[in-house]
Amino acid sequence: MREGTTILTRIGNWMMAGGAAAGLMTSIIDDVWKGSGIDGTGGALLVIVSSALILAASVLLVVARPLPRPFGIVIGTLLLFGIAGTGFAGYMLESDVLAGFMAFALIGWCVHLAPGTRPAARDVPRAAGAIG
Amino acid sequence: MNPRVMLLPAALAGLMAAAAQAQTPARPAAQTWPTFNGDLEARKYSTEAEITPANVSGLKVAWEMHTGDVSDGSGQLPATVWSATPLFVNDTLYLSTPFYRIFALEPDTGKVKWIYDTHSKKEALTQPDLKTRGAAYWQAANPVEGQACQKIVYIGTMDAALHAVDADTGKPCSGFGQNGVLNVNQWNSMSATWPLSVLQPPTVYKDTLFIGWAGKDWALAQAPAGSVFAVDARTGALKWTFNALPPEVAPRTGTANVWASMSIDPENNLLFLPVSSPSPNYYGGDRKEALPLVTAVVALNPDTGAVVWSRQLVHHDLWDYDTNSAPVLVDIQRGGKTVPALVQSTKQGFIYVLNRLTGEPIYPIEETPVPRSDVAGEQSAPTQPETTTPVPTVASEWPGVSTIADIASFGYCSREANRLRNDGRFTPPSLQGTLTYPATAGGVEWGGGAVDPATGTYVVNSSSVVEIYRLLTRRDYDAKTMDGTPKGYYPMSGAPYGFHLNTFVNWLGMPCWNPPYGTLSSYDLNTGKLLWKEPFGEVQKWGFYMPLSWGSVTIGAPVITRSGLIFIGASMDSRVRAIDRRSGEVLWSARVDAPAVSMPAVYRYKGKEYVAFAVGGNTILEPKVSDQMIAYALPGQIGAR
Repeated sequence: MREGTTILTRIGNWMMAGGAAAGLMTSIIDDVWKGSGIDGTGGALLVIVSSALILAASVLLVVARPLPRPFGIVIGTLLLFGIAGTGFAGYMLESDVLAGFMAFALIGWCVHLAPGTRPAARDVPRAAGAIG
Repeated sequence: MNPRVMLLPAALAGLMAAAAQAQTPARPAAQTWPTFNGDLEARKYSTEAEITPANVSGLKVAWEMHTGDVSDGSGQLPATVWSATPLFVNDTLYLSTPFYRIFALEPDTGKVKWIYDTHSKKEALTQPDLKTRGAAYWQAANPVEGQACQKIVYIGTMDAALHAVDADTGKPCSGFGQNGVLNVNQWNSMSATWPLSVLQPPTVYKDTLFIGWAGKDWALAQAPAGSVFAVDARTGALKWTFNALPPEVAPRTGTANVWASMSIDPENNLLFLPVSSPSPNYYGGDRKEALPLVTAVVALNPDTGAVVWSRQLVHHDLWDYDTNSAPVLVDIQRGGKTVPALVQSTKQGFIYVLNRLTGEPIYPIEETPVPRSDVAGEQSAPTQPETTTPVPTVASEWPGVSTIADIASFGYCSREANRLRNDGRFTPPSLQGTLTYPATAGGVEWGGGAVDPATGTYVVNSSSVVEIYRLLTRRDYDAKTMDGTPKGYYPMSGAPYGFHLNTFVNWLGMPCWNPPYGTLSSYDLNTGKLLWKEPFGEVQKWGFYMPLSWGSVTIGAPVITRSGLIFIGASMDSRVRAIDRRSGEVLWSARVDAPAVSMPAVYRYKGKEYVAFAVGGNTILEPKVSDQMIAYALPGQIGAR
């Protein structure tokens, strides 16, 4: 069971990283493709930066463990704001694909909080940062 | 039913249309789009009906091409403004570009047949940008096979040249002007000022071209006098000249030109001119005479240039309220009778409906008292001709301060609104600054409206823009511009005042007035009633789309089809749309590379209906320009009519 919840956390982290990577690609395309309707705009640049930050943070969760718990909580909270904010920006930019990828990342964020994520004592050194 | 039997009426109709075209080439056959406005009457109406409200959602890109003629203004070249209506005639799509080249394209693939380059100067001699609104087409009543220049395409340039090229080959027509180039500037009454830029394609009727021109706004008090030239379509020889200004006022004023498109009533042999305002645009103290042909709609005999009637739409214009679009000609039903009507939209948002034979109003026009000028030397008109039927596209009172913009600017918007002079529509420019609504940016712009002649439905897009007009004494103006001319300052040299104009926005660029910023309205011309009015387009800031209810400032024009669709670009949000004529509902939209600030052309080729947009952008709307030409069609649709 504990092994399974750890996997869920990892899946969630990977989903966030995947959503952010796809969102970053989408944002870059939106920024350079004239047909996007938002090419070269501040909004497109903003979501490039925010997607990149989400990607960096979620990759950090994937590769760096354990993270100190407070740090993990901060990262997790920032990720939530980042994903929600980027998704809302995607909606306002009428970039449905970006908003879709952020929705995917948000599901990942929820998954990584799945019940039982908190590991057993012997797993603490490995999974302390998983909350983030 | 046997498909061949079904196709027979269409084939017969095609033959009849082709025959009609040969006799009167500028008259549209069902399948063509041979003039800027689609037809001589400026109706912007297509008889095509294969794309319908029911199937328009399936519209796809048929082809797309890029001319390469685009500049965002960041390099050596000025920015481009591409507002050309593509022409479809002679089985070819003809395009003019803001680098003053003509492209002849295959209408079903967009492949280039030929390109003609005027090698015109790419300099913003009169306009702030390189600009074109299209090409014009003429053909002989009975073209001689194998003989060149029986069909001619014309393109005007910023430097006042009109080029004529063979429509089949793209080679210059040597019999026109000098080796295919007519120097329009030879008729410039003040050639040392600026050239008579031919940015609007000439109007073609029978064997005559009617040429208007554009100048440099707000620069000079004494400017070239407004004139229209009628020239022979084959040779460029001058037939007659029309002047809107009497010669005795020439030393003190000018312009009052026709820079927008014109319309023709072939049945009654009338040419209609939308005549613009005189210079200097915002101070009239040196032109107090009654000038009845300026800021007016004027009907001429196209054979002689003689004035048949005229109706002034702004007295003693102090707002640059140019009559700015071709009058739309349509017969309407009133009291059981068919009335030959003319519909003139304006920057003020008025829609004047006149009898086109007499100029008399069909719906009442009232001389309404308006605020008077408080500027020394000025003598503003006590009344202005206003109409309330159809209801104007913009309200008589300005929309009020936007709470969001006001909060974001820490009260700047409301403080300014309180400080500025605003006594309602037609408040004259002042030294303290006048909150002007509607402003010179419109209301309705140069595209004007479209009409469905079968139903008398008139559709028009309109902007809601608030600008601040401020006159400056010459001393103040000189002091402000001592180290160069900052943005928004215009000299009106020769007048006692300079001028400053800015859009009423806060430090973030947010409009200080309430939305909507643009609307699309539909009217029943038979009754004068508004059928519907919807916010049109979307506003973007930093790429973020604002609520649909805000609408968008709009430049360009709609086209109506017989099937009940309205096709339109014209919004800031780089989209083209199909709208249900009956309800105003958007049924289809597609993203394009920039605001499509033009009017589309609807045509049929090889049994397929196409809707083509030139997507050029306009830096007034957005710093976004393009050279995209794009055509849409239903997949697989072949002659289903």
